Amino acid sequence: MKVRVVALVLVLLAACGGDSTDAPTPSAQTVTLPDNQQTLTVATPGDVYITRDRIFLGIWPDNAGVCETLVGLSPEFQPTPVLAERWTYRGDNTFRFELRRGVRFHNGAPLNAEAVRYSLNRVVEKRQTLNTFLGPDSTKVVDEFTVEITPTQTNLRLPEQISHPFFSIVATGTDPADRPVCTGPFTFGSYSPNDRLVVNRNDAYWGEDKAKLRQMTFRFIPDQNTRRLALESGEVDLIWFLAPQQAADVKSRPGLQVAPAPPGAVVDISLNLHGEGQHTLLQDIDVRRALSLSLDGRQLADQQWQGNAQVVAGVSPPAVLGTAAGTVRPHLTDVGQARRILESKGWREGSDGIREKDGRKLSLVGTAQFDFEPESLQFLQAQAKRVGIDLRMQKAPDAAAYSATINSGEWDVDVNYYNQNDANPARIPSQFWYSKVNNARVRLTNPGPRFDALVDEALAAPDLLTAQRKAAEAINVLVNDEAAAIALTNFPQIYAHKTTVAGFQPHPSVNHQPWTGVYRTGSA
Amino acid sequence: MRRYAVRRMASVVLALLGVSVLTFALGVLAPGEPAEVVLSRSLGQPPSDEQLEEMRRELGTDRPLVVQYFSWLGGAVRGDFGDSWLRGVRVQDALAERAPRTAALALAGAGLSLVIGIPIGVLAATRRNSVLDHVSRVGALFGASLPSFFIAYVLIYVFAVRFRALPVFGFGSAAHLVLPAVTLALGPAAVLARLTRSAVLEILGEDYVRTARAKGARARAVLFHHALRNALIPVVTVAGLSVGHLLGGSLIVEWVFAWPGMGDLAVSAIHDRDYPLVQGFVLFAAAVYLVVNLLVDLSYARLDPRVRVEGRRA
Repeated sequence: MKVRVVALVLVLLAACGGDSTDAPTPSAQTVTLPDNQQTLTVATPGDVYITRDRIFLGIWPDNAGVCETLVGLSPEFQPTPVLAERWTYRGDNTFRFELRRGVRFHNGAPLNAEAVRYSLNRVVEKRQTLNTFLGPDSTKVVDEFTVEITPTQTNLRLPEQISHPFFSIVATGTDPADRPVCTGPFTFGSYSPNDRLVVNRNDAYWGEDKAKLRQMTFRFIPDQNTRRLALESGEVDLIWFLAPQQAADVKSRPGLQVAPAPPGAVVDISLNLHGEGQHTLLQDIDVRRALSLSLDGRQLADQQWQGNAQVVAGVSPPAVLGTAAGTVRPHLTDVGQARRILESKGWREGSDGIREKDGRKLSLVGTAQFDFEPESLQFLQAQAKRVGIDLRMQKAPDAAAYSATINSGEWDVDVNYYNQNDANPARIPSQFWYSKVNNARVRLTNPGPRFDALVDEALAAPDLLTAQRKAAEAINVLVNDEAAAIALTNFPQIYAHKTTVAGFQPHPSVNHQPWTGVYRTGSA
Repeated sequence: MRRYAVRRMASVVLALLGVSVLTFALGVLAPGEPAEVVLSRSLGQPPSDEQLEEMRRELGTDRPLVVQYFSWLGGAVRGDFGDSWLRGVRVQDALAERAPRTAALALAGAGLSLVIGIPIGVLAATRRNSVLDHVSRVGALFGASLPSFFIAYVLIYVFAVRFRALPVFGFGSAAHLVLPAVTLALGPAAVLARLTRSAVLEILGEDYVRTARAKGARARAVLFHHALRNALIPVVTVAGLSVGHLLGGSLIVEWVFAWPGMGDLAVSAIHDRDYPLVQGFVLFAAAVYLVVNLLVDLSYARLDPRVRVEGRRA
């Protein structure tokens, strides 16, 4: 609501004045600015580097292009060679990575196997291994440019997983908490907590894709309206993230444009399958199916998010499943069918439009991650009500309150979005529904042994194609066969920038945003 | 006077103790587990049960609540407020880094509110029912009732986006201070303007003011020497109380203007369930508030000799 009020005020205020952005006039010829003007100021949502260990300064979650991983993540979510030229599975849960030669860190030291061992051991020491099962003895130096990695448990998704920025390679003996010394197209400049991060072009970058920008400054602005106003004032050149409701207005401003990222996070609605007390209604698969059929992703994308989201099939971004994405059955909306299912199971509509059975109302408690707009949640409520389901959505005020609700089990429906930040096709299913992940959420959401077995197969498949196929099958079991989760659209992640910023291509994973192709233009 | 001051100082200490208990209790009652927040922020995914157990041990949140509180209190008495759970830095260091920025903002806001509020109140009183009086009344109504985030956005839009006269966000120069300080000042200025107006009007109706006028004192002298000085006592009280508003208001203003002060730190700490930091901030803010109000009370004697006389009689 606050966003709406502010947006309305801004529109009204804007109507009182003329254009003030620094776009080149239409008649002027647009040219690339000289090198000394190739600077970019990016506004991000707050300082995300402040944590106990601060081991990911400039690396994660906002990637400033300072560091690189052995394996990269393409915009199609496929693993690509970066610091490792190639990798092979050697059997016995071991992968061999052959390093690129001639690469130097920002301090001049050469990239070698020892640096890889140092970097990955540091991740282990800091307990940031995600689900790779890396241990202190996992990484072995074979020769100067070859390492072998053996996770402590069977994990054949390792090459895809280590495309995550956590597994960035830093120079031996350096501490990225103070100053990341890596191999990326930008070098670390300075960091002022809660204020800014500055990175400079690495003129000695090993790759052909050298940065065009001389310097980038990331400014930390937690308030999304302020970020937008900073863009309109010209103080910053590019912002993330813009509320979908503001996108059309920003797009209409001369000199500004919006850039929605391709699907990198899907709006996944988890259902509580193993609840107790008041939260047992969704143990009935027919109720789950009816709820799923009542929700319309197309309307959510078009009406609520004003066309800034796409309908997707499955709980993961389709691209990560490769060719297997086509095998994931799309979500169906059929209000009539939902009504018929509930009717046939004895759920009768009451005078208030909510169904009842044996004196029990079809009322569900919904919780949601804090960054969903209340309007989106009201929209889902209204859709469920069309079939007689009373869905009471409550947005958590912050991440801690949200986690507390989830862990308490006092919910039926959970609306969230999960980012796909690596190339592992089974990442999202295995993280949020797989019984071998031991946490309170999964104990309530796991759809059963058939799903688990398929995730097991995806994680143990030696080749990526098989893993993608098995992950797609697991998603079909989760979403379609068991109706244990509802996937509607991607979560809109929208950038906005001046039209004088060229070459910006939003990556579906914000953790992998490339900056080398970006440059500044102006009037001739 | 000295006994009075000592008594008040003792009540300040007691109040701070009460505040620390309340803050601790609120922290315990608030939903959300600190260990989970710390892990989720650093892992980027929900932690496992084992990871949670380990982090609880590390943070000390697995100990009984009473032990946790007295352990914290023991440290606080010695000037050690512990480490921030999320940031890993010492709480006093984090507060010391941010306090000057918030102090600059609060002082600028307080100064502006006095500079705006008192003259407008005096003018409105001396020109009662004039256009100026009506305009000030409407202005005060808006200033007092509009939420500070709304005022902030309008000011940013007009002065930073439209006229490009001032920066939208950040800190580091006097120009960066202007919009946040004005935002912070408008609410208290509105209250001060209304209060000054009614206090001055009341004093202007007193017998001694009429006597001074009858004896031929000039209007300006009557206003400044007789009326305003006496009218200032309630105004100073409210100005003292408005320190609370300025500290509380800075939470929102610092967030909107990306001003990395204590308010911004406190908001993040509350969201992150970083209780050592929240405790440190609340205790610091309460101490400032109580000390300022103590100073306000002590200033009465300076402003009004009758207070000193009454004090001696007592």
